[in-house]
Amino acid sequence: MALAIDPLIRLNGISKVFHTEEVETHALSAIDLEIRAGEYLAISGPSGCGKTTLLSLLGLLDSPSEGSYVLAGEPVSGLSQAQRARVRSRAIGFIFQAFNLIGDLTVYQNIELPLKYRGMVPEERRSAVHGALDQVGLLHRINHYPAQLSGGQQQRVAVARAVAGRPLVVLADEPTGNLDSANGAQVMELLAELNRGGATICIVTHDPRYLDRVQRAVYLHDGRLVSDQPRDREVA
Amino acid sequence: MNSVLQDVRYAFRSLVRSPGFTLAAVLTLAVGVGANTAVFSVVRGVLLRPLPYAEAHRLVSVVEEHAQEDVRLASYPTFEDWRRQSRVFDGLAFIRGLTVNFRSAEGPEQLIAGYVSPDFFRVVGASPVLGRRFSLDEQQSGGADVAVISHTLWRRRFGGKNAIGRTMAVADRTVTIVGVMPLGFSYPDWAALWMPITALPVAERAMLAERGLHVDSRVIGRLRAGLDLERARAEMNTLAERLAAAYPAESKGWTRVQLAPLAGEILGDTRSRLLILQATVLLVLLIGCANLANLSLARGSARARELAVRAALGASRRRLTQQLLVESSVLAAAGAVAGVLLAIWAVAALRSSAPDVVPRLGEVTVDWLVLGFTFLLSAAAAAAFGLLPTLRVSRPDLTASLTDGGAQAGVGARGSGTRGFLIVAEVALAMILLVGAGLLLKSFARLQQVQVGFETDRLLTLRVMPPSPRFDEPEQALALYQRLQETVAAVPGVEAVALTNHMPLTGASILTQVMVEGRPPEGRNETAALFRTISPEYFDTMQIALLSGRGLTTADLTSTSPSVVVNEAFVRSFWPGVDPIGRQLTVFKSVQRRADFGEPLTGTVVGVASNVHHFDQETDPVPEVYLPYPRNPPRWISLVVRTRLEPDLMVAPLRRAVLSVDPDLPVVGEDLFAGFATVEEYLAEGRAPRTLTTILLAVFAAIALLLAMIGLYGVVAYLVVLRQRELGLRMALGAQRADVLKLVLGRTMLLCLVGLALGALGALLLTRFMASLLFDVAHTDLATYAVGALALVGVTLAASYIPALRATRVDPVIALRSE
Repeated sequence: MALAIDPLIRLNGISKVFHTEEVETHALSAIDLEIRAGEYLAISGPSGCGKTTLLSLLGLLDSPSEGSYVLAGEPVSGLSQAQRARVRSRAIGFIFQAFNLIGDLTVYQNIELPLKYRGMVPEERRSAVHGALDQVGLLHRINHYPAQLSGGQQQRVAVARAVAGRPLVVLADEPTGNLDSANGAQVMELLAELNRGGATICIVTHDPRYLDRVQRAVYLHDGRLVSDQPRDREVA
Repeated sequence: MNSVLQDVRYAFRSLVRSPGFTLAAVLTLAVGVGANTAVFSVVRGVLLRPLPYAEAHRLVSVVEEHAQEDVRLASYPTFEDWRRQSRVFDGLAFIRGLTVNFRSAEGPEQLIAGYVSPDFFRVVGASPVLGRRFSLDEQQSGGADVAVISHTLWRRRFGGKNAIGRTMAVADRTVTIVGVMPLGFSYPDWAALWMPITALPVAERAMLAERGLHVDSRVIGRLRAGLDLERARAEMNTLAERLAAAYPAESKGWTRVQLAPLAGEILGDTRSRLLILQATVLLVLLIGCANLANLSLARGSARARELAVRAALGASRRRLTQQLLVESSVLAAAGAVAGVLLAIWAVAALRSSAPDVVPRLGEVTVDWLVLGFTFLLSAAAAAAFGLLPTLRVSRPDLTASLTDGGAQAGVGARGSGTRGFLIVAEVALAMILLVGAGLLLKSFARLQQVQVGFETDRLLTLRVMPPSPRFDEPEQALALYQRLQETVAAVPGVEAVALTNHMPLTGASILTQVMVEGRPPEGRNETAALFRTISPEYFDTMQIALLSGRGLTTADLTSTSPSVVVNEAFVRSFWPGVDPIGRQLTVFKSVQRRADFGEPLTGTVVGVASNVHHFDQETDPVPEVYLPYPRNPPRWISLVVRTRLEPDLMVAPLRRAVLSVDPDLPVVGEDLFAGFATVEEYLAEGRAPRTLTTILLAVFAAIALLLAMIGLYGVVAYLVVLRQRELGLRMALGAQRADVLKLVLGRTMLLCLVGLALGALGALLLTRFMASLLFDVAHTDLATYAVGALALVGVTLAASYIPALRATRVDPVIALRSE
């Protein structure tokens, strides 16, 4: 999963301004950030500080108002919507706070979905889905529907969906926000395990308990990056 | 009760707050309920309302039936035998129909008189609304000349003022009006006035005595009370067998009697046409209800939180259901009022635009029973579109509605199953209607393509009725016909003029038995042909092609060895594979009331003319024999005029020309045949019922298609809104715009295909019932089904493309938002 290109992600002077009627909201201002391959990074900060906006820019769900974004050596800030969708399906895995599994698709179909969009052939998809489900310990739930799973299990399926395509980076938005502490801890452990296996992970969290599990934490305040510190991490 | 009033007030406020929804719902209901009310009022007036005769269910029309399934009108002696010998009737009446000249202050005109046997009015069970029936004396030979006139004739010729005791010249006598029948009484439907059968002109009366003569007439019977139709038929068949044995020359093989309820004779195929229309408008209403159900579901979903709050505050399910049902009832009431207004307008429009196409249409009104039907229909509609959302919304998922939208169950459109069902239902119903309308349109188009066998453009015709007794003698009639032809030919703008006994497409015809050289006589049906007498200019004027030999010439009019022309169908029937030119055939003089009636007439075939659809476009050409008209001078004749100018411009000068020959010749009248009319008008009149049904069904199908399109758009647009989060997620996971477009359109198209399959199946089952209305098209016609399906696929694509396009513009960032 790790890539030779270093840094994997480089943001230079990134700003994001939202225009609503006559009001300009500066969600992010002059963000410079580099993420190395295999790094486990947390973005934290108070509500409304721009965490989710930064994650959506990193995930190419949105484009910056200013600044440059280079992903794996390729500039991506000026890509069209279709090009961004293509890069997203190949290079980025998403984990959402609300799990976001599609209710009328089975566990298998949910995990398979981004692989289909990537154009992967069916045999490869099957093996990737099985591998990912095995990794999160839910192979026995492969034909279940989301409604038949607990919250913790749903989020583990979401993790499997994010990593099944072996993306360059996994972006997780408050992945424990909808879980109780036991399930939250399990999911965080799963992410740490993936990182130990070489995955680059970037999570948004404001839960201080989980900051201890990451290698590096950046802190946002009013749309500015105010702190960027390595964390001591318990190594299993 | 208080809570209901409160709900009504709340419903009004809520509906006023959503004017778009309210307007769409009321308009949809108005169209659905209005169309149903209008068609139902016609169904009630025409089919359900009893005929305006006492105990009308006991009335039957009676005709003779041959062992080989053929039927004929009974002759007067047969009728008399039935009347005297049968025990199944309380009364039996004979009506002889005769076109007569009627002279009033406005000049002569033609109309059809019904000469009725004694007891007619008692048998029918109807009395004049003004004046009286005929007295016994008046119905005896030599009695006073009296007439009872129809309501229409009374209004038209006497302005609705007192006419009793007034006289008018009818046929060969002056009659005194003794009664005026009520509005709606029209038996037989062609009769404008009724006179005792003893008032028939002398020659006609003499003919009545002939058992073998089957003149234009009706026999109507009133069954004995409580007698079953089958038993009556059986008894009459026994009687017919006896008569067939007693009179083999005239009645051999005519061993059965057909008794048919009078309503059937009056209505013809109107019953099936109206029932198909009623089914059609019901389908339109169902599509409308599906649309409204969808609209209500959308509103219901938007109000889920409000209802959840009410439920959380203690409102019972019954209370919530009541509130929603009251709201749909208020809408249904508004739709019903608008629908009734629409129906009143539609019925008035139908009555004025097609008074003669649908029998009894004049009796149609929007009455209390119809309003009751509308009320029931609207209540059913309210239940149909109101109950579905009610069931869903009155059982709200409180947790989901009061929290963040229920992430636990996964993203996606909740309730998409119900909406999927609505799409399938709309497409299926619209498919049934499209196939039905398509089949009728195709029949109509096929019929239009049928070439009648002559050029119909700028062709006018007039049936000339020489007044009796001045022109009763053949020589007098021939001289008149010749003068007429010469005078009309001299009118500027006339290209050609011809004479014929029976103009094609006008309903007049007479059959003759034929004997041909080299062919032994066979069954009765195989040896009959139309007896046609013409002037030599006929084929040229009509532009009927001659396939071999020649037409008739002026020399043939007086030649001692008669020449005849036959048509293609004749050759195929009588001389297949043989050249008929020069062969001889014998027909029988067919002009009634002439001394030589029934005498054989042998002629030599000099030409073969191409086929003509003599009766109508739907009936195949039959064998015809054309003879020079002086060979058997008709009592009345049709002038055929090909004009250079537009026929409209020619009518007035042609009338003047005819009147200049004899001012007593009628050139105007109530019916088409009574004045100059174009062949196109006769064609249009023949097609009128089919035209009306086709137009109405096509209009309803178009409305259905439009409603389906609006409905589909609404469903798909709302599904996109409901699935916004899922679509955003899919895009976050790498879906391209094309993937989203494919997803939305694909699912809609899949539902559309299911609907098409069900609709096609429904159409296959239902269109069987309209087989009698189809012409040259099977109810399984693949092309019609394919066109219907393609139209609906197109409509579905068009209706779902905009919402699908909107779906591709969903911002994938939505996936990151937890609400």
